[in-house]
Amino acid sequence: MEPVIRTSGLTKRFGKRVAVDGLDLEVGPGEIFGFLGPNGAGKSTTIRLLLGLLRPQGGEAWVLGARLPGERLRVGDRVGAMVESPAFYDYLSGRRNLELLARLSGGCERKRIDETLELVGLSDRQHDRVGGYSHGMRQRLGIAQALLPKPELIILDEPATGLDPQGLVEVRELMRHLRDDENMTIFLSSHLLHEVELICTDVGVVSGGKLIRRGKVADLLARSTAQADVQVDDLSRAVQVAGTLPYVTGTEVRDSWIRVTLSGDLIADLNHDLVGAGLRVSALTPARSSLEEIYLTLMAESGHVGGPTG
Amino acid sequence: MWAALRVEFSKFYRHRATYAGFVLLLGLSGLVVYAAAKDARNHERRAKAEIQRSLGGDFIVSGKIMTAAFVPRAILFAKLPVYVFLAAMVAMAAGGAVATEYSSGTLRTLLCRPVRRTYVVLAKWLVNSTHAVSLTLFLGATGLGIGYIFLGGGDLVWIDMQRGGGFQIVPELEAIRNLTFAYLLQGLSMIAIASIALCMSCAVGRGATAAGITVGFLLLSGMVAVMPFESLEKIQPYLLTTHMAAFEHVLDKAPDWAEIRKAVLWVSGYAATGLLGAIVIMGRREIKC
Repeated sequence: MEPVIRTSGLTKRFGKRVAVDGLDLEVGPGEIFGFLGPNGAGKSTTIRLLLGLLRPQGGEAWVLGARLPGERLRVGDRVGAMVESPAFYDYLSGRRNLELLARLSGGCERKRIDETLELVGLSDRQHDRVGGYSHGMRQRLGIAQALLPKPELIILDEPATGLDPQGLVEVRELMRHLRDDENMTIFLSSHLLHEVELICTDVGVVSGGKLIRRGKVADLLARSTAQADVQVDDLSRAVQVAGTLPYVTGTEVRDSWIRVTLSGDLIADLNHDLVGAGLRVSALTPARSSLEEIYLTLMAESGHVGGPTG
Repeated sequence: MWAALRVEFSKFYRHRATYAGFVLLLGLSGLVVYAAAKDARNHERRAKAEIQRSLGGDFIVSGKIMTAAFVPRAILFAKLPVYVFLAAMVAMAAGGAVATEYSSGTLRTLLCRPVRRTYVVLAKWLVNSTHAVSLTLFLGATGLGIGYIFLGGGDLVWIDMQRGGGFQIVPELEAIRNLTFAYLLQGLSMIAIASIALCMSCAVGRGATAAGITVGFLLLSGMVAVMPFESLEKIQPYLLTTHMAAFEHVLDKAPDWAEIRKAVLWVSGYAATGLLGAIVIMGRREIKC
């Protein structure tokens, strides 16, 4: 199937600084794609390039088959977007803001505005001035304006930032609803890795303007489960035995158990060999790395320090 | 284009700040009328003496000099209210049209929609041009209106000191017609100022900067236009303020229409250049904010 987003050698420089460096990326239809990377990795710049707000110095980008930035208007209504912190006219109500923005997309029915406000949980405050909205409410309104034209693709830059726990759950459910019931493809950047892990089907990690990892979230997590937490009657002997096994790459003693790192999905073999060595294994739990741990490992490998942010 | 225009008009006229200019102009007109009414007796005595002197003392001058029509004319000829006060208000509104939206991020929200940047600029230009003309006409109308309330009607009488044309009496209706025309022409000047401010607004990141550059340009142009240096005289015919001043002569007994037509063309040229500049700059502008 034709990718919804495709970039090839996409490059953007600001003066001497290379913000996006030959980015090759594909996002397929129906994906909820999480775009991760540290500060200044080029996430927001990539999003701006995909929306035609910036012009690339090199490479090409296509969104829904339209080449950017020249053909952006051809797919205008089919793409909804929220870039960074959502900006609105503070002196107008939330609803009025949506009405104005809807007009620029060729207008939409009152019913659709009602629907989107309902969807993001702003129906009760729709007539209040945006100036009085909290950050979380603005964020919700930002998502609402992106959804107004019933797009095929929505691009959201940090949609969960500033939301309370209830809001996070609602956004998570909303993303799934949009994909499953409205057949939308979602491209989102976020620094909330736990949220990305729960929401996204696919992720791409950028560092220094380059894509350093791309894959399905499930695959990434599955590949990183080659660890096991083992509870045995004799910890020091268990470490000794594990150290002789060819598929064990590391052991770490923690309180009353040890974490064993394996070179593959060999937990059953580990159990067999420990028991075979006369050890009494009382518990053996696969230690699953979180997306956050995978991300931090990737960042360390690419020479970046610090957490994943905006 | 129609959608962009409706959106711009809606945003502009729903903003309370839009009306601040009208309130200030109302205050200015009121102030001029107050001063005219307060000083009416002295002013009339001095004016009548001057008129009598110019007639050689063979005539008795009677009647009312300080009339409603005198107020909009005084505002126009005092220059500062139009060249600085009104121009600054127009420049502030148009200067913020793109720059303020850029810095606040709403321009980014707008441009994520399927709308041509050219249409956005054209819509903003039309809104600000309408606002510029409205402010100009409002200034004249309130001057006249408040003048009628406190000074009453009557012919427009003044002494042409600048051109040495002696005293001039223009019948009331003709005076109002000429004043309307003069204010409309100054409205055109304000469109030119709005266009320059809009162009600056597309180039910079802050509305105040765009307005400041525009007013600075206008003040510089105004200063150069009156400096008595031969080297500067060469550029004086091309200055915006030179042609803005030509519009005042619509009120003359025998206006130099060729000069006024030329001024209209020059001022329109400034407006068109500003608009074109705004479209070109906006088309190339990268939305980083």
